Amino acid sequence: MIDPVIASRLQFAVTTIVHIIFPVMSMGLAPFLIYFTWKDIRTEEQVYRQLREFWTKVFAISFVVGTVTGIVLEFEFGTNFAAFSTAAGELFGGPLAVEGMMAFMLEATFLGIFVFGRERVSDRLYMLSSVLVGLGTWLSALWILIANSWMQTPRGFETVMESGQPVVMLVDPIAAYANPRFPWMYVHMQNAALLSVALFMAGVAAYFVWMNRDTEFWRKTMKIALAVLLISAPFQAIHGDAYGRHVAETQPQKFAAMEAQYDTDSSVGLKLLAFPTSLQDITDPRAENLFVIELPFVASILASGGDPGASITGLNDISSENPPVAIVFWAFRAMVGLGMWFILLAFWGGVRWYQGRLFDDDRLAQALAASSLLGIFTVELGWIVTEVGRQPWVIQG
Amino acid sequence: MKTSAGVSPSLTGTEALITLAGFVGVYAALLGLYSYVVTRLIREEAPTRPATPAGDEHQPGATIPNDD
Repeated sequence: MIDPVIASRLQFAVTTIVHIIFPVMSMGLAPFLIYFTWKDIRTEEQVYRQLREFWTKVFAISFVVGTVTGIVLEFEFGTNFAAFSTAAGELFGGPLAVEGMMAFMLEATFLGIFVFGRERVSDRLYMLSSVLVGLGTWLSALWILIANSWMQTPRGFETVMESGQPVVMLVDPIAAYANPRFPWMYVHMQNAALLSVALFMAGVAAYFVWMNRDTEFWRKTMKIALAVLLISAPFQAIHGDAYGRHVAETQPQKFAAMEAQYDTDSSVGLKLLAFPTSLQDITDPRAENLFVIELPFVASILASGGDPGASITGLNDISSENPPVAIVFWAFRAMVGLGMWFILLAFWGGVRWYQGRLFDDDRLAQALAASSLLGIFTVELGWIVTEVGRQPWVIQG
Repeated sequence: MKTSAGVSPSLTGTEALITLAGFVGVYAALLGLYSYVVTRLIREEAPTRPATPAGDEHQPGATIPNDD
């Protein structure tokens, strides 16, 4: 029969992979909704009212499905990962509970006003409720990512033995919650949500442009989404690059798996593109066997912060038990590759916009429409790198 | 702490497999329902009144009022 460890991990993977789609939608839509509400109140232009009303519906559905799919995850810690919960509950349970009591309650309460209250409350209270709903979604992510980042870079705890079992005791909440990974993860995730939703909005709008069914509503949607894309896509790459350096320092095993680096080596190049040279390379990529286009010395420079001759510790010299290297290696490459594509799309759109031809380029409209779901897909790839890459550890040890 | 040490001690592979199958079904259905509703919203609820190009303001039949 199947190993309960594998089945439990698969179940958590499936449920969380589906769940994350909805928070990405609501977290990414929140700043757009605040902006639409503000413009609607200030200008009273019909298009902003339409934008607010329509995207609020998408937000509300995402919120509902996100809640339903998210609650299950919290129960899975008890049903499938009881030993983990027993050991780490004192530290891990806190942020999850605060997420529910503080962020979720805030969001749920003001969402009611935001969805149904436009004609019932004052402009000021309505504006405030849009901000509080947005704040609620972003606070949810804050607490969830505190819990997750602590598992990646655990701090502020002591391990004691309780009836023969190791149990984690919280000794320094600030060190534990503001652990080194947390700011990296939070910025990367929130910007990813913005980027993904901007791509989704631009993609849907571009579809209507391409079909020649665009209205002022869709044109406005496309412009605002493109403006956000122009900032968030390049930022994600610059930030991701620095994030990678942090991973190399704090989780060398994950970093080596991302690069399929088995042997410790100095002066390592950054693999821009890696091509498998045999079928075996797909399932078992090894840095030395791949055909790569690489920037010489750059991986060493990145990992060390400037030294081209720095050595990168290979998997063989870290532990006898590796994460599934192929999944991490390819998911990382696909994520970075798609990120580059998003930057290209953003600049393509930016140039056309500057030329005043944003709605005349069918190729651009097709490319955007085809990419509308790729942002969310890339978020999944990023989380696969994060979560598969830290195996065999549930709490990095 | 290793992931393998974190799993509930009394959980059997069969139990985990049954719930895994159940959740795959339920989550696939939820995702399908969500996609359906959002697609429908985009198709039918988004404002489809065309932007009126200059000099082309009286297009009979091109306007589908769909606010609320």
